[in-house]
Amino acid sequence: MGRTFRAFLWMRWRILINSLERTGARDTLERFSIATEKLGPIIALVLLIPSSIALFVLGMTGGFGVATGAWSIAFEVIRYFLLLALALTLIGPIILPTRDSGSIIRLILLPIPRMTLYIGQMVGAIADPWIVLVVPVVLGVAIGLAVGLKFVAALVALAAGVAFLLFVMGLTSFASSIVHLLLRDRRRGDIVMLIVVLIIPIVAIAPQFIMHSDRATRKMTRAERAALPPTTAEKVVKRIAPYVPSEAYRRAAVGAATSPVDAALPLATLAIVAFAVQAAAYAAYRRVLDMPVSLGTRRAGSFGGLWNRVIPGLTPAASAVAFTQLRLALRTPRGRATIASPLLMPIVLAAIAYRGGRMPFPGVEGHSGIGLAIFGLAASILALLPLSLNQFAIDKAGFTRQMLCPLSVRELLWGKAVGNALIAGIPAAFCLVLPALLFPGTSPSQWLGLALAGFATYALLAPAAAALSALFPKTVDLNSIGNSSNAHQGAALLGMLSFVVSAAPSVLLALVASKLLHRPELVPLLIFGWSVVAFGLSYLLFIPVVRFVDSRRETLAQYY
Amino acid sequence: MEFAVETRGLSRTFGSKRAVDGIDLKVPAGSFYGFLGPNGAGKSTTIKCLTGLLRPSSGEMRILGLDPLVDPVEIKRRVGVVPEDLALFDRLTALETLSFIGQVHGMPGETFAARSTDLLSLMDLTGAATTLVADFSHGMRKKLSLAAALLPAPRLLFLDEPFEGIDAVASRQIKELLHSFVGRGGTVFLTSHILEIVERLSTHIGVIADGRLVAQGRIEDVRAGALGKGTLEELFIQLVGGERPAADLNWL
Repeated sequence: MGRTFRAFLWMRWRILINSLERTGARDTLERFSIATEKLGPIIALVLLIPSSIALFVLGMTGGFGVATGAWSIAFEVIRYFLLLALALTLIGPIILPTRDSGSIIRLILLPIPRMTLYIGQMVGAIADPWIVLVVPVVLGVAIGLAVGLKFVAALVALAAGVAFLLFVMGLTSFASSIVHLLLRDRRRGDIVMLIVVLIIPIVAIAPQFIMHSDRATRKMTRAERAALPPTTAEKVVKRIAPYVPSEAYRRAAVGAATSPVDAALPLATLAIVAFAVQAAAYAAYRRVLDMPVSLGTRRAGSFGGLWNRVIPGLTPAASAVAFTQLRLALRTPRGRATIASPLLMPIVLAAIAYRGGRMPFPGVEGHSGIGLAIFGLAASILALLPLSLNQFAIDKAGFTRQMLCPLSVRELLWGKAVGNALIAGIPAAFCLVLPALLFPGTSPSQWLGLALAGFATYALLAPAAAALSALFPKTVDLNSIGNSSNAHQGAALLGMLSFVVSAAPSVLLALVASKLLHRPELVPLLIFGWSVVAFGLSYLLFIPVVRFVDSRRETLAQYY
Repeated sequence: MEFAVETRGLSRTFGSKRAVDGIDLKVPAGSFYGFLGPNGAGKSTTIKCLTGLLRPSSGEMRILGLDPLVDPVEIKRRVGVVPEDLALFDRLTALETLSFIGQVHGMPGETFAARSTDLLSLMDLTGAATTLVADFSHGMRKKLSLAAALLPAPRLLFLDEPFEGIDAVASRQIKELLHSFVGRGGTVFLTSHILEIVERLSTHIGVIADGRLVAQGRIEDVRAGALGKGTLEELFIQLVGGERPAADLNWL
């Protein structure tokens, strides 16, 4: 087993070093692109050192405080830190890249026992920052207790810390195996990812609905609110809390400082839960090893002749690119998330506002409707950025096919721009129509002005997105909705800046007309004028961008 | 003689490596040209230069009488390519892939329907027409890539290892199809490691080694010039200098 782990360690080390030393960059621009992409992880790695020291000190302070009986805020911080690590462990496998089945197949072919493979995979979870940062905390607590002369409690805290770590590592392994098992069937995987996309915003607002949210309580003091009888949801949370591993760890460490007997039950709970999770993770991993490849074939739905139409203003070739961009987006979880997540924004925001009493719902507050629509429109364009700032990645090998077709770079870029506009257009239209229906008091010209502002913003953003896609290409996994499907960090940063610059003129014109001139009726007219100018600017900007993308074709083909 | 592909001093370098080193290709129109070479000799780089995927570092090219650097789109209208990596959209179906090619070529709907039906049937892909390419086997992908290359009825076909991974039945049908394509005046530029196929199909060959063209011409002429007689395999090994003593792995 030792030899196997040494081999694993060496392999990972070489992969890391090779990725830094042998980038395969062809020119200075590509070297710059690769360097900026690696900058983020390197900074994160460097930041881990002071973070670990700070967390170790926090752990020691907490442990010492418990040992001396001076209950400190430090242990409360540790409590919530461990709870956060637990939550991140659960969502980590969804937002991180999916496990490469190819590497699993290679491992199965080697003479390595399954248990060794499992331990290797499970220990690999320590590379997740939220897990590695748990280590200095639990070590610090044990040392802090020992410094406070509570040696038995220190041992108990150390045992509880090890059990907690085994639990989170087992949970990571279990969750990633389950995600792998779910995703190996493409159809099922797509459905799972879509459900996750829909669930995440609902989970984010759930506390708003579970906890006290009566409008009357908003005016109460903290003491008055504390005196209120607990709701059913709060009762359930209180009942479950002791069995949550982070809470069991806290109870074990704190209990051991007063009496080792008090620590016995939480420590046993933690050990049992850790063992159960490890057993489940091993069973799930064995199933992954039994069948690591993708299953089933997928038939695609037909949209009749819709896809074969020529979009007015585009050539047939550019229309084909536009519809292909939309079709590919609809067939990837990340693409679907781009469309689905902004759709939820106005609904979630309206629900929160209604719950908070800030919006008489249904009402006739025109400003609220416009605000909601602006937010939805911005969310639609922003949700598109990960796709549009790396717009050739969605084609994968199809990018080369486009290069082989009688298709000019200009047609390719216009097709991509219109395809991306269609992707963002679906949620944007919904985000305009829904508030327009809910707030009928607002003048139609204002809604039109808003739609034109969205158009002007996108028109200016499109050439920038094309240029950034060529400058910062990145191979992505669009089956994931997390970081691995995001655009290059450099592109994301500059893309966000481009969005702000593109949106600013519309915002400024609206402010000038309504606040400075006090003539809000001028807003749609001014924005109409600006949208014409923006379209002209976009057309002109595409000329150098076409040349730039043409000069980067070879580099792009290497990535996809 | 009219040439479908003609290059002069075609070179391509990657950093300090000269992958293609000043080759002068002459592919007669209406010929079946087998382009041979050992792994890493520069075959795929040459095809990529000829099909516009790579810009040559130096040299001149004429494809069907046109300059690819001046008329790239016009050349692509007349040329079909099965590239090394097949270049297919993973999340399109077989039919959608062909539909994309048809649309980009501005093909009328009826023409597309008739040709795609014929090609899918020929490649035995009719049952998989609405299956995503991501779910295809390697052989099915290769057949689809070939169908995509044939759909616009090109005058010149660049095929990079077209028979690798294709079953015997489809392979035979494709060979017959390519034969009749050449018989009707089309030109095929093919690379393959299967020398028997090249020997059986080709009228002309070119052999590349270390980026340099070491032989070119009618297959009989090249064979006669180099060996007098012998198989293509013997000719190939002699030309690329691949005669090495067999390794004696007595530990095996």
